[in-house]
Amino acid sequence: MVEYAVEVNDLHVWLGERHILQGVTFRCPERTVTAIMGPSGTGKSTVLRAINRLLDLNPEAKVRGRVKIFGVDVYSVEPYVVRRHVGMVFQEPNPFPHISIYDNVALGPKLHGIVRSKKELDELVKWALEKAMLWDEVKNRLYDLPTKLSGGQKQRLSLARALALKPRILLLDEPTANIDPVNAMKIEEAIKSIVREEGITVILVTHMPAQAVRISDFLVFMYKGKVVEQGPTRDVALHPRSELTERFMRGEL
Amino acid sequence: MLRRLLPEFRSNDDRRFFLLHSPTTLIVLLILLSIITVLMLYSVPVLRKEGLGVFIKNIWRPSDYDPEAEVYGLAAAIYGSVYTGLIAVIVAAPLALASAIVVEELIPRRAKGLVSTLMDLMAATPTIIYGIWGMAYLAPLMHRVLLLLHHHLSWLPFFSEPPTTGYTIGTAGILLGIMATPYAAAVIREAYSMIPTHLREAAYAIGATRFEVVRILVSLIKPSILAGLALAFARAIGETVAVSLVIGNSFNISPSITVPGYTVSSLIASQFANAGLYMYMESALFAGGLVLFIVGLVVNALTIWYMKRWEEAIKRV
Amino acid sequence: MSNSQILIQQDKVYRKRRIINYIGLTVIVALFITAFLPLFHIVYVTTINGVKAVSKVGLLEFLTAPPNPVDPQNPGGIGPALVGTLILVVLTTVFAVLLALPAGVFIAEFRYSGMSRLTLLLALILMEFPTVLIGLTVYAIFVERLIGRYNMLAGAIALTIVVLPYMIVQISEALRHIPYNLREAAFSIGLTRFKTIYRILVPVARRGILVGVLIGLAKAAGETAPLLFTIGGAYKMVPESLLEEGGAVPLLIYHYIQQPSEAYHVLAWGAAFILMLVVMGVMLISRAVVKEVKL
Repeated sequence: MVEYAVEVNDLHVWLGERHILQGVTFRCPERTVTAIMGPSGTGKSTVLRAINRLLDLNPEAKVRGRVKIFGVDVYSVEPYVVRRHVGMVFQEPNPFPHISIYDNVALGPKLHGIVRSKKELDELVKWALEKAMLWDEVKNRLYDLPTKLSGGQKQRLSLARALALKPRILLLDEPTANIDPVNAMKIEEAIKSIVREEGITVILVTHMPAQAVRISDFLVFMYKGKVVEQGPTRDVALHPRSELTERFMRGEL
Repeated sequence: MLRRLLPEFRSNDDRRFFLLHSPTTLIVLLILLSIITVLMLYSVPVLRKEGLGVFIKNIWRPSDYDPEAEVYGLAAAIYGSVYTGLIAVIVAAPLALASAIVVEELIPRRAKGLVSTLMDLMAATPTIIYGIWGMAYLAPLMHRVLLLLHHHLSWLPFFSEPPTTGYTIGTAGILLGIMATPYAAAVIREAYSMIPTHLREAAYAIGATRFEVVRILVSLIKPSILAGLALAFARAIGETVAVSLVIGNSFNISPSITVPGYTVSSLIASQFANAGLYMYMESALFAGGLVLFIVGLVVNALTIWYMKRWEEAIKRV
Repeated sequence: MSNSQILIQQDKVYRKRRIINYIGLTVIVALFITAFLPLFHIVYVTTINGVKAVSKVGLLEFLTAPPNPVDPQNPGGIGPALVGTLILVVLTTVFAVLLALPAGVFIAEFRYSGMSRLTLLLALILMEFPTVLIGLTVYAIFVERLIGRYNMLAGAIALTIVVLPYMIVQISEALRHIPYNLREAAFSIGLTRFKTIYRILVPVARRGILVGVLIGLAKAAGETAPLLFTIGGAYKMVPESLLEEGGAVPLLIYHYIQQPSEAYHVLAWGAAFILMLVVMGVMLISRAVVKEVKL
């Protein structure tokens, strides 16, 4: 039996009265990049928030269906256990503004007690920042507040913060939507190398078909709360079966 | 400078409207200036007689026959104001912080309205009602508590003196803390609700437990927590009638919270009726008012400035 | 070890953190409850004592009769003090609204000019001023210098200064929250700015403004310190003119509770009960009108 990193099965989500997700099903094999794409307002981010249970924060959200990571139902364990293994980077770059760059990365490992010494922590922080391709830019000001970083740097810091927990799965919610193209390319590079070298499974939400094609192995195309089409990226991108997918790939939706 | 004071007028209509309303600035300014002026002018006689000693000495000696024999010093009252203010902050800090956290983080949105209504009621209850409650219920309770504390912990300077009644510095401090809690909580709540969703999500996303998330977010808004507590302190030293009913009104400078004391405002409240009989007492009370004014102004100005800076900083993220 | 085993394993490792989580949250909730205990107890004892006092002479009698504390069997009521408070509150509201409305408009309309920002800053500073200082100042100017005796007008002036900054801030907030498209619509009618604002936009924001006024009114009814130095404290009869000494409910409570005899205390608790009902009633009404109330 193949073990899937993430299995989403018939997922329904309501936000108040609105039926945001109407039966979403897909699976992500380990060590792959799955891109969820589709026009904005289709519920792509909601899928991510169901996987790491961030929807718990929204009192109006109602979830039906099943989400498993490595075969374990996420609703059968504590949410923070799930989140400790499932990193997330948000659309908005969001490092904590009141603590230093170093502390932003070190906070997770410290809370989870996954390092035994200061030296180990230093190494982990350095590793995470290197993986996020930020180390060279911040190594001389690790103890400054992140407020002076550029938007792209802040986003890479957010990525480093997620990586510092050595997650098995990484959720990326339009990570390049709010930053400049140069930084966006750097983040894409970082994602690719993370999957290659660390064996992390990535789910990327994006509204840009080109980006999805560049980095994903599998594509899930969503429209109005439903999965329209999914499969290996080449298949979906080159031979879309649905007219909606084709129009989206051409940039018409 | 003048240009920055005035807006950019797009029409004569705008200019007329502005001119018509600008006197309101002057009126508010005039109120503030007249308070300052009156406090200063009326403090002059006692300052001329005692010099700055009026703020340092602990003595209160009116004289019925010879105005020159009158001696006044506010030290005990100033000491009491600061001491009770600090106790109030220590009492209000955990209560206000916990209520802000519960309202903003832990309870469902529907219950939020009810709790904020209760908070508002707490803030709106007239201080005189807190005062008579403190006098009739809190003070007797505190007497028993302080007796117990003195009995077991008299080696601590805070409980070194035996409490003879419940009307003590400690009682006043606790009452002030209770009264200041909703105001401090309001400041903290406002800051808490200003934390952007994506930062809260980020805290949860690294797998922090609820309590750990709360700790992260609280450390994020530490500046406004300090501001809220500064506000609580300023309110506590300005409070008058409730304190004067529970503090016991006597000139003590003692580290022990089990003895009666004075604050500047309770001194003014309780001595004012007699002040007309003497030459310098009224002036001494106004000098006390001047102290309150300066302390309050400094605390408030610092707080407003600090909060402005912090708000701008957090908006940049 | 497979990935799924790690997940389940971790759940056990997390025991300690989960316990800390529960303890921490419990402490927070316990402190939260503690914060409200005094309020509940105050409401409870004030009601108990107040009802006892009021029922001694009957509600109507208590609200209208002058106090008669020398007779413990029939201690009378708080009539004149209540009238005094009514006079003070009405005067204060009129004075304060006349000043606060243009000031609030000024702040809201000229948001980017230094002068209106200065007005707001001054109001915020004045709001945090100890009310005892306002009492002292008004005493010096209006009691000692201008009129020569304690009088109701000075009390109303002192209360006006106390509530003015609250009203200014509340009114400017209410006006600031008018949606931009409504503003555009109002100005598109082609009235002068003065008329646009006072005839259209002020009525649009009437709820917020009303709440500001109501809260100011409740504050004025409950303030004690400013009156201590201004109105004197005459509880037996209603003053004949505004330039006479008079009484007010909170001041009556303050003076009577310090008297040694029991009958005075009964009257004080009765008065406190009435005052609490009025102030809390006004607060609850305001909350019903708008969701957020700025104190």
